[in-house]
Amino acid sequence: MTTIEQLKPQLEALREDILNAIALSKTRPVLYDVKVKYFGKSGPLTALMKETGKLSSDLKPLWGQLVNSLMQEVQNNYAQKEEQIKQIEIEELMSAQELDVTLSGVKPPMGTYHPLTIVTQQIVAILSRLGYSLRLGPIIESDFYNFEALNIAENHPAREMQDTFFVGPKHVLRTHTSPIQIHSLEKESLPLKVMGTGGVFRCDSDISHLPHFHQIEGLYVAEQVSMADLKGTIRFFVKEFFAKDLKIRFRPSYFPFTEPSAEVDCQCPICQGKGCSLCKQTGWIEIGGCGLVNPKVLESVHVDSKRWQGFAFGFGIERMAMIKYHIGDIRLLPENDLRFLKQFS
Amino acid sequence: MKISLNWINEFVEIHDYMTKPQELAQILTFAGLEVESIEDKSKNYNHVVVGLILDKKPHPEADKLSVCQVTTGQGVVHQIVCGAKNHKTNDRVVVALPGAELPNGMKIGEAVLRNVPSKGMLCSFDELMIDPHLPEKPQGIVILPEQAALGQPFSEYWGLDDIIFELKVTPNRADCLSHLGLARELAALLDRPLKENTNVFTNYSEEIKNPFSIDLPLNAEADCQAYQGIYLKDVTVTPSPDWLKKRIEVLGFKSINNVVDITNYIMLETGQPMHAFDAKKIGHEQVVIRHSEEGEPFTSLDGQNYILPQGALVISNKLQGDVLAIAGIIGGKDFSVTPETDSLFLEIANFNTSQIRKTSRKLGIQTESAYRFSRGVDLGVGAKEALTRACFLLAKYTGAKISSDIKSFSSQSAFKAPAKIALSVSFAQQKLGFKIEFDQIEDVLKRIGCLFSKDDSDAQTFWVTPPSWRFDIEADVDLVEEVGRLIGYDKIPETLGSALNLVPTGHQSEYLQITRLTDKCVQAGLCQVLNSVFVSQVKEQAFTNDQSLMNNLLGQRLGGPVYLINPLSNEENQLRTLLTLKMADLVVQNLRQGVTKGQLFEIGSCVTQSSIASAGPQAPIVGSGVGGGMGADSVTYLEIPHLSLALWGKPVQAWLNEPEIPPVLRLKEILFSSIQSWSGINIQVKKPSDRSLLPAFLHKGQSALIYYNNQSIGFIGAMHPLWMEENKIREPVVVAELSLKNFLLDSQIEEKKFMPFIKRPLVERDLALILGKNKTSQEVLDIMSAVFGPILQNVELFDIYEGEKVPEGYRQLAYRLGLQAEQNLKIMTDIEINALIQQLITQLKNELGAQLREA
Repeated sequence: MTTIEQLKPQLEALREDILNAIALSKTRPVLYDVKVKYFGKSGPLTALMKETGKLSSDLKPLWGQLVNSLMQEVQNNYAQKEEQIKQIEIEELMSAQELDVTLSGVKPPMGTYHPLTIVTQQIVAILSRLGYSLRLGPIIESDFYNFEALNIAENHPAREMQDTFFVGPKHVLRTHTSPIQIHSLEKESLPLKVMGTGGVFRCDSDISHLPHFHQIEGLYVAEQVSMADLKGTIRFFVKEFFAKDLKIRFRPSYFPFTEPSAEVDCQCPICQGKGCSLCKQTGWIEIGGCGLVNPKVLESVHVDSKRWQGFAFGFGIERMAMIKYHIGDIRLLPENDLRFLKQFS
Repeated sequence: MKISLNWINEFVEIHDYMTKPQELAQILTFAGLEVESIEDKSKNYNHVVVGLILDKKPHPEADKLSVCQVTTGQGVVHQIVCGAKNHKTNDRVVVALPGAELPNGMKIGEAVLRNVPSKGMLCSFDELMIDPHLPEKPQGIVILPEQAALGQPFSEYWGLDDIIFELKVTPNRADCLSHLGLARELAALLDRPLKENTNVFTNYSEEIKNPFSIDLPLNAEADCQAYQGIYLKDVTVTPSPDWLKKRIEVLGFKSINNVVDITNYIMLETGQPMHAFDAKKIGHEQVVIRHSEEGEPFTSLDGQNYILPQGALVISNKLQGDVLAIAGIIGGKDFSVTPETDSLFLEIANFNTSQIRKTSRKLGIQTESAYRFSRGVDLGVGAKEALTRACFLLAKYTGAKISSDIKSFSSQSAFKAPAKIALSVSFAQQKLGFKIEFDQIEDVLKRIGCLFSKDDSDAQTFWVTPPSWRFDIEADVDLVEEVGRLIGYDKIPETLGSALNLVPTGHQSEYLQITRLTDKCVQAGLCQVLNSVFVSQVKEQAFTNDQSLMNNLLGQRLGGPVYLINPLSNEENQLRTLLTLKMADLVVQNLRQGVTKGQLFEIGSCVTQSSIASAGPQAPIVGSGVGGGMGADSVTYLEIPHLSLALWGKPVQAWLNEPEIPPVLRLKEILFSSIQSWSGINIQVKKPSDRSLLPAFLHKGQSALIYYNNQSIGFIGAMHPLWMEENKIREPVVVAELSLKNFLLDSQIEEKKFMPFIKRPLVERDLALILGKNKTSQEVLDIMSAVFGPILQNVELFDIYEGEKVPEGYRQLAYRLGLQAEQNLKIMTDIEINALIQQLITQLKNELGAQLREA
């Protein structure tokens, strides 16, 4: 009977051959050939396994163990080599696909909002937090909505304050967003808290005035409304809008639709009151007008002015945008030059 | 309005503020009388004083110069070299000392002239920039009279030591359009007394008969509340005295003669306009205040000729006679005061504010008088003050004798006692939002001239009677404003309190929808623009060529454009009916500025008239917030939001070859996907069978109409080659515009709901079709949709071929169809799919003559 010792040199020789062949393989096809040649079904390793027939039955398991462990070893070795080659190949592939990633690609077009839209949306968002709901209205208004209901009777000197475009004997381009207040008071139930925004029109055009500009205003009507609440509302708005704790002050003024009326100044957001070119060294800038709703306005839409009171306030959107973005010339806003618009992406 | 502080100081003591006018301005501004500018008249004459020439010697080295020793008092002597010839020893002169900067910009320093030191300059009127009002312009330096005090600042000597405030007076404060009025306001604000008037006239002559009678027809009564006609005899018309000239000139008035200057002076002082007629020129002795007839001629003081409209209030010399003046606005040239005048008819009247405003606007005449009358003139105290002060000055400076027989008229309503207003402390506190004491209210209201009485039954309520000049105070809220204003708005605390106790009702849906569409457009890479609504009528007409066609293809609008009655210019005399005109202009502008590519969008309202017959006082509701108003003139207006897009220039300057998609198709995809993701609605483009149905400004071969539910709502296309040529543009420019009316009307834009999606892959089939070039891709797609219905999930056009392999006039379009059974339950079999494909091919062949390309 053959002893294991007799078979062992054969096993050793084969081991050496296989490991050599694997080591010498540089590519995956060559490596695969080694696999087929040495440990495929008809390869020498399988043949060696068959040698067990020559061994006595008590030696058979031992021989089987030896061959199997060799099989295990070369397969591991093979797998390692395969991984190694794959690594090299991937590296080569990546080298072949080298790209200068500093080259420019195709820029996606970036859309932009017009600064007046950005400012309007910001104001709407702030006032929404105080409970104001937005209302729109037509730009062509009858004399009633634009003037009479707002306590600006025909031939009232206050009409001089607003140079009006007429489109018909009794129809104008709205000179302010206040007609929206009247529509709301007519249609909605009280108490009421609304804001109106949109384009307004005055036949006035110079270095600091546009014939078509934009306003936003708020109206609050309830049973008890005070100047103090109005001041608190505007203070909140100013702090949110400029994201700074700026003080405000009221200056007495006159609007036919409010009594008392006030102009609102806020501390200059640029210099915070120290004085700069925006605020003309005064530390304050004018941002809007406000007041308690004149009872005559409520009466004009048949609201009981003994029971209901209100306050209203308004801002020019162009002015707010100019302050916020440090835009020196109002005419840039309607010009729509892309080099201007692209700055607000 | 301009206010002289020196003048104010005659009525209330404000001398202490002359050195700190900013403080006074601040007080006025925070009382609601905004001071827009402060002009210090003396600042140009610092270091300019009155001097006396002690000695004058010729200059040793220059014939034309003299060397003067000049004293400015208190033993101070300056050596000054002078080039003038008109001065001599013992003359009083105007000396500009080193440090002075004259109004013409000349800076005075110490100098050496031809080896002689000179410390200052003797000034001429030109150098001082002063008009001395002499018949001949004096040459050389100013020689002052002997009374001039040595060392006195020149500004003080010449009455230039004044500070002028430019005030912005709001329309409610007509009482502040005079020095007396503003002095009253300052007296209240500073809590100082008013000084007593010394210009009181009592010396009326009983002997002189007033020959005039006043006639106010009944129908004119409403327009003339009061009228006083004063007769003055033995008047001497001369130039005004210096003080008077300076007073009115510093406020921008031109000095005419003593009579006219005094009437202007009284107006500036009391706010009461008045007019002096030459009594002899009136001719007829009956003065009539009446309404004009249409076509009456009138020549104003300044020589302008007018043809009067019907209904202007005029002063006339007898019924239907000559027009002496347009009441309250301007006098007539033929009746004016001239140097020959020796008797006057002086009018102190009060006219209806509306009447004055209307006439002044109609005739386009703006005068100081009309300005005051249109805002309201004090009928009570003001008129009395004006009369006595005017007579005082006229008697003193013209030598006039004034008839005691003043012809006057006043309507019953004019002098009715001002209404008492009830005001309670609690009401004032609640409105202003802070605690105010009873006494405080009493104090401030009394300061502004109100009469004040307590209510017998209620200790917290009082009755207030405003003074005659505060006719703006009509109700309790007006008093609250006065209280707040005088106590100071800075006392108002900042609270939110009850202002937060309200459940919000939600924004109007149109705003939310438009905001979302704006978001979608920006996400699609478009830049938002906001153009003005104004266009030129001529330009828009030329651009669109056919207004009704445009209306049709943008939806069914009915009327023509809306024009401005009073446009700023012909460039802006109409409201836009479409956005594209301005958008195309904007592209041109940007290209001219060197911006070679871009993509823009605008969402904005377009306006037309509507001929819908008026059914009632309500405007037709065209959806929430869409649409306009309607009024007595029975024209309705439609305001419809549009979306407009524009794209120009080459897409990308890439270094890799990208297939170049025609710009119009790029814009179409941007538009479709924006609208789709905004509204969930698929719009279509179609070429109309008749090319003349396309907008005139578009390239006929590269444009189409946009449809929504088989209704045309807009257009898309490249700009017309002629437009490109006119504007010298080579880069492609494409535009699109559509009406958003249907989207905003339909409730289709709802919250998106999650739809279970099918987890199996799509079944894909490729189809290559050969069809005539006159057939559009949309027609193919329409048939595909019709055949497959909802199982057609997507269609992709992956190839277009024209060339040898297809017959001439044909092209090959290759589509990849993605199909999926409607519900996950069903798996589509090949047989089912093939049957549908077969049906599609048959339909394509029958309807479009399309052939399937053999594989």
